[in-house]
Amino acid sequence: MNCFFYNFLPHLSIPLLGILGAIAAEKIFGWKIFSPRDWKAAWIFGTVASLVLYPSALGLTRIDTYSWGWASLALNALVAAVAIITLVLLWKKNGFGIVLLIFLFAFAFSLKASTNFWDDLIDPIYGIISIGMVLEMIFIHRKKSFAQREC
Amino acid sequence: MALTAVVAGMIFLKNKKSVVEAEPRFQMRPTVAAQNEMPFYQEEVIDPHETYRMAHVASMTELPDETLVTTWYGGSGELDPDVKIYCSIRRRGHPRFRGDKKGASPIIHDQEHELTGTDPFSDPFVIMTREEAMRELGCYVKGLGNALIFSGEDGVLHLLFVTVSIGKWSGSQLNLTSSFDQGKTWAKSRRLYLSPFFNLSELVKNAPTPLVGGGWMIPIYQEFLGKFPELLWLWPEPLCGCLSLKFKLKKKLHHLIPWLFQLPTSTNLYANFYITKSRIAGGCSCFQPSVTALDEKRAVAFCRDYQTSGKIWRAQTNDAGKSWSTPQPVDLPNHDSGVASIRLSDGELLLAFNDSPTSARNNLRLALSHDAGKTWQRIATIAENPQGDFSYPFLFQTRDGTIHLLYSWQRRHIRHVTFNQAWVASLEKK
Repeated sequence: MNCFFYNFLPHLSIPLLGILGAIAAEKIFGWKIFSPRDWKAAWIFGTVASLVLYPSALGLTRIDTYSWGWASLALNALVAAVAIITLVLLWKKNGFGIVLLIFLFAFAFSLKASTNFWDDLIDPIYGIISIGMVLEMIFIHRKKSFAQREC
Repeated sequence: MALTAVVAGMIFLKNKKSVVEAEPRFQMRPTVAAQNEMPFYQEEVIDPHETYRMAHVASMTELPDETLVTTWYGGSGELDPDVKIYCSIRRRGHPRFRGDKKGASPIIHDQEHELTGTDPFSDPFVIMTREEAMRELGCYVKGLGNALIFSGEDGVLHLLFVTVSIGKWSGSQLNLTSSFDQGKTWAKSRRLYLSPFFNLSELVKNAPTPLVGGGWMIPIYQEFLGKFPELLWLWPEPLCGCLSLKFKLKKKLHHLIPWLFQLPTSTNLYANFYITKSRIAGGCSCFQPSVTALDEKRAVAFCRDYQTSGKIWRAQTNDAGKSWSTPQPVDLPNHDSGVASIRLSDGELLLAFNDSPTSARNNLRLALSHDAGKTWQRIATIAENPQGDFSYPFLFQTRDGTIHLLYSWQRRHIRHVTFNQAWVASLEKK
C-alpha cells in the first residue's frame, strides 16, 4: 500500500506541498501562515495554471502546453510569467509569493524527478481544489451581489 | 525580490543549453539492397516452446555486429501479474537464411500450437518482471506491458517498456533501461515523466527513428481522455555517475588489453538521455503512430484509427517532427488495430496492417507506396484465417537489406517473417 501511494507522491507539485505545509502548521501548531488574501492568490493561480495546462495536455487541442515545460522558448516565457507573478505577490506582501519563489528554486535545482516545468508547478489535486475554491468564491460573490441588489 | 530575478535568470541560462538540441535531423540508416538477389521469404516462430497463454507486442533491433535482438511480453493475459518481458537473440554467425521462396520454408503446422520450425533465435529469456520493475522503480506496479527494444551504432541496447500502476492501459507509464552487454545485464530502470496527470497513460509500440547526434525520436501515444499520437525525444547526455566511472575504467582496460575488454564500436557512448515529448495530433481519432523518415527532415506517421474514419491515418512533417500536418485518412481500412511501416532502401514505403473494416484481426497484409504513403498497393498476405488473430506488426530492416516482420500470432506466439526487397519487387510485378 505504501508503495502504491509512493507512486503518486512524486507528482505532488511544490505549491500543493506549500499549501499542505501551511494547513499543517495552522492545524498542528496554530501558526497562521496564509491570510485569506494569500489563499485567494493560491486558488486563482492554481485555477489559471490548470486551465492553461490540462485541457490541451489531455488532447483537447493540437497545441500541447505540457511540452512547453521542457527546453524551449516557451519555457522561458513560462518562467518569466511565473517570476513576474512572484515579484508582484512579494511586492504586495502576499504569502503565496514565497511558495512560488520556493517553486522557482526547486525547478532551478531540479529537486523533483521530472524535468518538466509544469510537474513542479501544478498537479491534478491542486488544480481540482483550486477550481473548486474559485467556483465557490464566484458563487459567494454572486450571492452577495444578488443580496445587495435585493436590499 | 532580487532572489526571484536571480533564480529566474538561472533557469534561463540552464534552458539556453538545451535549446541547441531543438534542431533535430533524422539519421537515415544505411541499408544495402543486394543487386541481382534472388527473392526470398521465410517464416519462423521465435518462441515455439513457450507455454504462456499470451504473447504480444514484439519489437526488434540489430546490433553493430549483426546480432538481432527481439523482445515481447508474455504471460497469462494482458496486465496479469505474471506478465514478463522476454528477449531472444540471434547471434552473428548463425546460419543465414537459405533464400527460400515463399512456400518452401520448413514450417510445420500443428493444430494445438500450430507452429514449430527452424529456430535460429536463442531460447527466450526474461529481462523484466513485475517484481523487478517494482524493485528498480521503487513503486507499485500492477503489471507490465508493451516493450520496445532499440539500439544505435554504439551497440548499447535500450528497452522502453510500459508499466501499469492503476486501472488498465490508461494507467500506464513508460520506463527506460539500457544494456551494455548485449542484453545479459540491464541498468536500473528509470521512470520517464511524460504526462501531467500523475504521469499516467503513455504507451509505446512502434520502432524509433535515430537522430543525427545520437538521440532518438520514438513514436508513443496517450490513451486517457483522448487517444492521440505523440513523440518521445531522447536527447543524449554524456555519461555520468557510476556508469561513467565504469565506462572510463573499461575504456582504459580496453586500451591495455583490447582482446579481453570489448567496447561498443562507437566512442559516442551515452547511458542517459534528456527526455522531452511533442505531439503529432490531439483529439481522439487516431493513435499508436508508426513514424518513417523519408530524409533528414521529412517523415510520415501512420496511425491506428480510433472508431472514426475506419481508415489508417497519415500525417507528415517537413521539419524533423517539430510540426505535423493534420492527419488524413488514407485508402486502407483500419478498425482500431496496430500498423507498422518502414522505408525501403529504394525509397518506397512498406506497410503491414490488418486489412479489415471490422474489429477482426484475422489477416495481416503488406502494402507498398511510391508516393510517401498517400496511395497504396496491396502486395502480399502474410497471414489469413477467419478464426485467426494476427496483430501488432513490427517492421524492421537490417543493414544487409533484409526486412523483418514480427507479429503476434493468435496472441500465443511471436512470429518472425523475413524477406528481401527482391521478394517485394517480385510481388509488385505480379
